[in-house]
Amino acid sequence: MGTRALRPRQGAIAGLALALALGCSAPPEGRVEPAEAPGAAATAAPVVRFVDVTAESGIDQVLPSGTDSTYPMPAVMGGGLAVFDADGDGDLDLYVIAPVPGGNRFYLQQEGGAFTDATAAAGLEGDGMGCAVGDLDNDGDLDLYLTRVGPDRLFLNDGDGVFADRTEAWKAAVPGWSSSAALLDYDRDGYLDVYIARYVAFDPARVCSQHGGRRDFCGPTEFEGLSDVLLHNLGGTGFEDVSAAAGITAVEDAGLGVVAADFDHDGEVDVYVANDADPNNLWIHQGDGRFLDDGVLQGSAFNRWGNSEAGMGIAVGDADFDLDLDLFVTHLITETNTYYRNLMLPGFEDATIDTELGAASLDLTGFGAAFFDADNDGDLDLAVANGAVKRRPSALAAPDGATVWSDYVEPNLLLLNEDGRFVDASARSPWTELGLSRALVPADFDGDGDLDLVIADLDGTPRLLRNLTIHPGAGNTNAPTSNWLQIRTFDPRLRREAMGARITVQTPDGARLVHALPPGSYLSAGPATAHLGLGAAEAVQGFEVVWPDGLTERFPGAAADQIVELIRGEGQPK
Amino acid sequence: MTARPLTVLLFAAATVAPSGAQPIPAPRLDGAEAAVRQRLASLQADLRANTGNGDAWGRYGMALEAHTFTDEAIAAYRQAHELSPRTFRWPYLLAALVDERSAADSLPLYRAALALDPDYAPARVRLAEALERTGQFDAANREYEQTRRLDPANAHAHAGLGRLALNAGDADAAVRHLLRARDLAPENRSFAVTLAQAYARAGDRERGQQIAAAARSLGRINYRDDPIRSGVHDLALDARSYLRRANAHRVHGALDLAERELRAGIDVDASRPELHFGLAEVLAVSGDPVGSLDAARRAYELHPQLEGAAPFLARALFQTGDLGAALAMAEEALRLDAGDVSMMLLVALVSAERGDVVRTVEILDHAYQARPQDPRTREGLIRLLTNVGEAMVGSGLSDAAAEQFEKALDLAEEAESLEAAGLRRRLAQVRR
Repeated sequence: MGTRALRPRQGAIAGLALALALGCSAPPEGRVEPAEAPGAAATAAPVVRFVDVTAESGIDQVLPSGTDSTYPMPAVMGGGLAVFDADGDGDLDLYVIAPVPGGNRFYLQQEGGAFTDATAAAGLEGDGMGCAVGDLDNDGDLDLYLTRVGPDRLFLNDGDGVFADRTEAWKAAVPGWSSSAALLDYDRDGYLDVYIARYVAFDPARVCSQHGGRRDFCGPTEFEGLSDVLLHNLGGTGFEDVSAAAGITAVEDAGLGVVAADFDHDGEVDVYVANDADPNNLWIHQGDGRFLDDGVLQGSAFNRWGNSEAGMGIAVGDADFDLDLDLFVTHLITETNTYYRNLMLPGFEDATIDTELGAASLDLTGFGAAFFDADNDGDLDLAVANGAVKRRPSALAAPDGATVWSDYVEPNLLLLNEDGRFVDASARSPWTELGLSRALVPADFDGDGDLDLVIADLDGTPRLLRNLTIHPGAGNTNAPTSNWLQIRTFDPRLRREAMGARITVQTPDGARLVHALPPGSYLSAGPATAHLGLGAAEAVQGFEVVWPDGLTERFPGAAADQIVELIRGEGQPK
Repeated sequence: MTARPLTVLLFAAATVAPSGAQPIPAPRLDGAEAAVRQRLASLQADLRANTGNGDAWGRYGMALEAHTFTDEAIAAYRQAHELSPRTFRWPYLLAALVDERSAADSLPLYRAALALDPDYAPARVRLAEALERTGQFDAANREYEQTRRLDPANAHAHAGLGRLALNAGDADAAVRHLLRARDLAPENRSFAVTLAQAYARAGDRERGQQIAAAARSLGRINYRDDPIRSGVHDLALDARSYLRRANAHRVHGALDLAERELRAGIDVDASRPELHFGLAEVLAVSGDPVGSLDAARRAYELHPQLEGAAPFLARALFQTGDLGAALAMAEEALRLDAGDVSMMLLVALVSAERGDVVRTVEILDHAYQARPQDPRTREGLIRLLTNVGEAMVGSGLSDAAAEQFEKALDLAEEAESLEAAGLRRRLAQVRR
């Protein structure tokens, strides 16, 4: 058979949140919208609903920004997240990353769904900007690469969620300001390599201002950009910096977001980097360890207008069902976020206008972003975390006197896909809440089959938003009548998930493309489990997997509403 | 976190104009520079005395916009347009600001402005761009064509037609339009990269690559020929704006205007090292090495770590003949950035001049190990290694000289330099 069905898990937090949504427990003031009237839920389209369950979750520590009267630039750029099963108990844990010494927090999800602070016990104290998560030594557990304003750090997992700092032994102390990182096996040796986007040569003495000379945070154009770094994994024992040989030191741009995937389906993994005010890079792997930046000619370096924008976060997914990976990049206020539609042969086109994705973002500064199927109806929606990096032209909050952030806070965005157009669905809580949001990760925290969200807020508690979408025909209950599938890939030779595997799923509505990839976003890492909304379909007819080493296999179909594991070597070779 | 307020706090700090008139929007000025505060206060006083004067509101709006107080500027322009409905510039400036928030909302304002002056091409092309942003491609096409008729040399109109053609899948037409735009505004990076993409779509990747490579040297900011909008930005009085304007003048080669802006900025705030550094760079190009040295020295004193300040000062000292100070500053620059090969060469040059052979050879070896890729720096290193080698030959140190020639040859061969053949011959002679 080659597929393994895993049981979905429903934790106590799911029950708690459900109770809140049904009105069985008094919701925290100002947090939860009233439940829909019974008639409203019985309409044809799902009523997408997220509820902030942070207060009940045990996630209670503020993510410190470290800002002060000198307006230090890292304070306004940080706020990373990692969502992964650190202790191998089957549920998702949470690592919160702050740009302040001692600011990082690690939360273990317990049986029942509550989170407890296990930072010290796990050995994950410290500070940072972002991270990448994967099994770097092929021992069957998930390790953590931490990016920082100073030298990066590497933590190897002992399998039980306790981490050892192996930075020195592995030569992982990449200098300078690193931002996001992505894992990829570019040389197909079975070990995950690390691509690190680096930002700018920050000088804390530089004073910046705007609005008539009022002091403010500096922007990237005040400093020289830094070239990115590619660390080659030496058989699970250490890293070798191969940046120069790979050709990626040819540019020194202000990198913030990064995703690694095979964008042109030539069998080689490529890298896309969102640069802040610099053209984005599309590093096409030449198959021999060298990468060439083809972003300009392939139409993904600049927007429709030929302008380089303030690239922050990246969402990646097949948003138009044409079986390739499209890109969505978040930007600064007065710039729209940009949707790059993959056309394969000629490259990408800026389809922001066609998809109506521009207007909602023009007055906001976007950071974390993810394509995800919020309502399991079979298409990809978008969530975007926002928060200004300089004082907004118009403040959205009254001054609070305690911090400077009232001039910077913004609401986040939920954009629902309606036949290829994205409709702003952010008019209700929790999307109306103001914050300084950065990393954003979709993940099924409660194992109920739909994707929840966690968002990092500077000088706020990370927000856990439980997906309580009400589906047609379900009356006023949360029984998921829109079906779903989660797909894990496993390579027994490597004893780990097959990060980067490309999976084509035959559904009753046609072929759908998903990847065993973290969701991209900004300064963040998430599960490499693929999620597919199926709408009313109760089964899929089959899977075709292109494994990272190039082997293509077919697997038989499966019923909906389960976690399927596809194991390399157990399918039918194509 | 707080909840989003029901109303925007636009007029929260508005000052009240006399008896029943519109309140005067007053931005928060805590921390703003004194010159800015004084200017805005003066304009507010004018306005209180002339609340019914549209132009007074407009002038105040321009000063607000110049200092990026966008909300307050929009409010002032609206009032100016209402009180002076026959004046073109107020609805036009209002439209351009509203466009930054919502292209759709800007459309009626652009049209109101163009009804007053249909021939102002920069406004018509902005209307076309706003139509393009809102997906009204046919209407945008008509406005770009109309702009082209009004002003055949309007590069933005040609570029707009090129973009529309490219996105409609007509790569050949896109190349035609974008070539014209690029020829009219060769300094515009946006036009160049879109042209490169159009060539690639049309099947000529090689030409596209050439244009994309050339575009790397172009500046990030594209300037528009729009006297009305430029006039707004000229009003900014904060030090940063002087620097921005000076950089714009430098891009266009107007060094005298750049110098004037930088000196005015220093008058506003003499504590900003980047203004002094900018002035040093401008004066160096203008042929005033002494003035350049003074400005560079001031920039370094204010912020020794300012990027480029120490190497610039070292070079300025060298050029004015103060070798001792130049050597000390170059060593300091190397302390700040140990990989700066140009500073290694300067140290080598001065050390050689002063007869310090040990330091000369040592620093040249560091420079050689750094394998500089910049052609000019590499060429300078090859020359220095060669000169030192020749000096060693003259002193009878053949083995040491051969070592210098070997390094020079290695670099020349790597760069496929024509000098390699000569160095190879010379090395053979020295070895004999």
